[in-house]
Amino acid sequence: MSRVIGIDLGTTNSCVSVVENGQSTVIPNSGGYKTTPSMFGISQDGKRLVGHLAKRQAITNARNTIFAAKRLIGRRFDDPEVQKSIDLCPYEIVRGPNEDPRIKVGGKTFTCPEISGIILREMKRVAEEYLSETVQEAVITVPAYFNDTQRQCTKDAGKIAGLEVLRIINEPTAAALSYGMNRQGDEKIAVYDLGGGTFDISILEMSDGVIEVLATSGNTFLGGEDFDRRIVQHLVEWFEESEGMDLRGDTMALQRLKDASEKAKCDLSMRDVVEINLPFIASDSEGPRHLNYELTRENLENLVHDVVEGTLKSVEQCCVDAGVQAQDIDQIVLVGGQTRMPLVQKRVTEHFGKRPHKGVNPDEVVGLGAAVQAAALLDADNDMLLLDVTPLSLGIGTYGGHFARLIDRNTTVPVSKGHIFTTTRDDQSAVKIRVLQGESDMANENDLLGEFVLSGIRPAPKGEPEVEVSFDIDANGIVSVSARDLATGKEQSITVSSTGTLSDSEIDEIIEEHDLYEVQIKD
Amino acid sequence: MTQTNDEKVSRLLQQGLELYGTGDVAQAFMLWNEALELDPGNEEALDYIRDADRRTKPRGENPEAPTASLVEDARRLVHAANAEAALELLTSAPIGAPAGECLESEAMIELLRAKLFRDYQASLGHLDRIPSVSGTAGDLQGRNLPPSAGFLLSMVDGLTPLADLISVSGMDRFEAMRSIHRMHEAGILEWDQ
Repeated sequence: MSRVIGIDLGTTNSCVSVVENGQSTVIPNSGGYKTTPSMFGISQDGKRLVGHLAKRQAITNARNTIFAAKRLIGRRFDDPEVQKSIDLCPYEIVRGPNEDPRIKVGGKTFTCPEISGIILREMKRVAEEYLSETVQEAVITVPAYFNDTQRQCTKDAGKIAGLEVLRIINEPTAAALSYGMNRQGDEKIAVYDLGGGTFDISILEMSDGVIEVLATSGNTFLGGEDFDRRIVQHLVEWFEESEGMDLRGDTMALQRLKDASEKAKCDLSMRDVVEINLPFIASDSEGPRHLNYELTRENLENLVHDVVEGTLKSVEQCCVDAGVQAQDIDQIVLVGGQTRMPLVQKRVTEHFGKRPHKGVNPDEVVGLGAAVQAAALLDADNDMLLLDVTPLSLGIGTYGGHFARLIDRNTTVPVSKGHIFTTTRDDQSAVKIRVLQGESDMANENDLLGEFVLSGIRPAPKGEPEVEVSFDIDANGIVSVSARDLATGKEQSITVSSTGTLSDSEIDEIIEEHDLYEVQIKD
Repeated sequence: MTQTNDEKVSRLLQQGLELYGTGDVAQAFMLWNEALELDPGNEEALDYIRDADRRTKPRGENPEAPTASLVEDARRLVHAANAEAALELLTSAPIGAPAGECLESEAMIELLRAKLFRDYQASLGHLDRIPSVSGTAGDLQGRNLPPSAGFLLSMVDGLTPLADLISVSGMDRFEAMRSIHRMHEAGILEWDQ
């Protein structure tokens, strides 16, 4: 039986893990790195680049290097988050035929699941190289706030990568699993996740093997890269002052500054001072200029103090939403490489009045949890009970623009629920079922997941026909809806696929295209 | 003129051309004048000085197009087996020659790039080789490298093969190969043969 891998498909970095001899292990890539940048690019000579190689051209070939596609996946083009990405990202985001955002690089337009699929395929390759066997199944993690469409698109990405996605689980849940917290008694856990490009704070409640996400908050445009940017800005200003040269327009210099800043930031989590040496960063008539600078931990803390404080505001908001006080939290789990920074750990400790858990690498904790879940799915004797809950309420749009809630937020999945609806006009022969997800009582304030028409309803006065609408949410949080005319037995059903999701034929086309490409590069 | 003098003059003329090709016009003039002192009336030296003098004047004072003689100079460098200097000479030339002559210059640039590209490929060998930097950062800073070379060096991590370095550098492929070739020749970059 082939093994099931766990993948943390991150906004900035991804990580793949597997359980070996009862221990979950992170699989390093061929470069020895345990995480791989979630980046895809096309070089100026037309080569497709994934991971570290793509990251290396992120500034010098910015228009053709895609990062943070996870911010776009499963969203509508008009979504404010997508619009913000359009403003901030150097690559081109265009409106797709399904009102979804698509990304244009190297003269080709890619769907977001396709980009995530390329990253997942790379993680699959890393795992296969390490395990020396084919891998076909995976558990993939997603943020707790991901709605059905975003989860469905992530599943599509897995399919594009040649993986059967056995389960989609919430990232904070995976983090808690990697600490074995599901085996402990009832408690409240705060998962503080400061990644490269996003910040998420989740408050979980663990009770009888059910992990409930009480609240989640954060900022999808705040992360470790903001710290790097502050250092780059500082170095550019210092160089301008000391050498009289402005490096802002020099992409090669900026790429080097970005790489060096990230490295210096990481080193300063273990040391008090680091030297940044960038020989030949620029030149003028007098010859080459070198950048040699000593950065201290104190300098860095001054540069990013407000960013760290910004995360704590989200923590406060999350506690309010969850109806808990900071002191009610039993355990704190840190996720994301940026949480290694001593200032972050200090401020989190001060905020909650207790020390966060240590022991599992924050870059790897989510991936390891995914592997734990993957192993549990394979092992019939495993008594681990992991039940996630729905992140948002589900229902349908009704007469007058209202939202009829069929499944409440935080209901344990899998779940099935039905309700009888009726017609609003005499002799109405068809009803349109609009499937919505969200917390507003008004339909148009919630996310439209999909819609379909049930026709052939027997002619009758309004209010007489009975249409039973049933919702099924599987363990991945993916929704199926059916509607049945109880009089005629006529039924229509959909697995919800709305804006941003791909049809089976579209997925097959993409897989075929990528397979052809694989053959091409082998030539 | 003695045999030794002849060789000396020839060497001075050649060195002058190379310097001229790299843009060091003043030093080139000095060497050609030195050649004239050893061999007064040397036609080649006089030609070089005349041509260079014409090109260094502002365009208004020089209604004649410079490119034709520039191409001739470049040809001389190619004959002297110095294609690199010939290319430098042509690519650092002032703009403004009549179309036909510009075309001749552009064609020669293309030919030289193609020739040098093949030379660099032959010198670098298989591009799946993984380069490493020889010496310390301190040693490097004593050298005179352009920022593009510094950028390439910053990407050398002992894991990435030459082909990938060239791809992700974002540099023109020829320029990247040239830079790597030069650093290899200078002993800055090394790899297993």
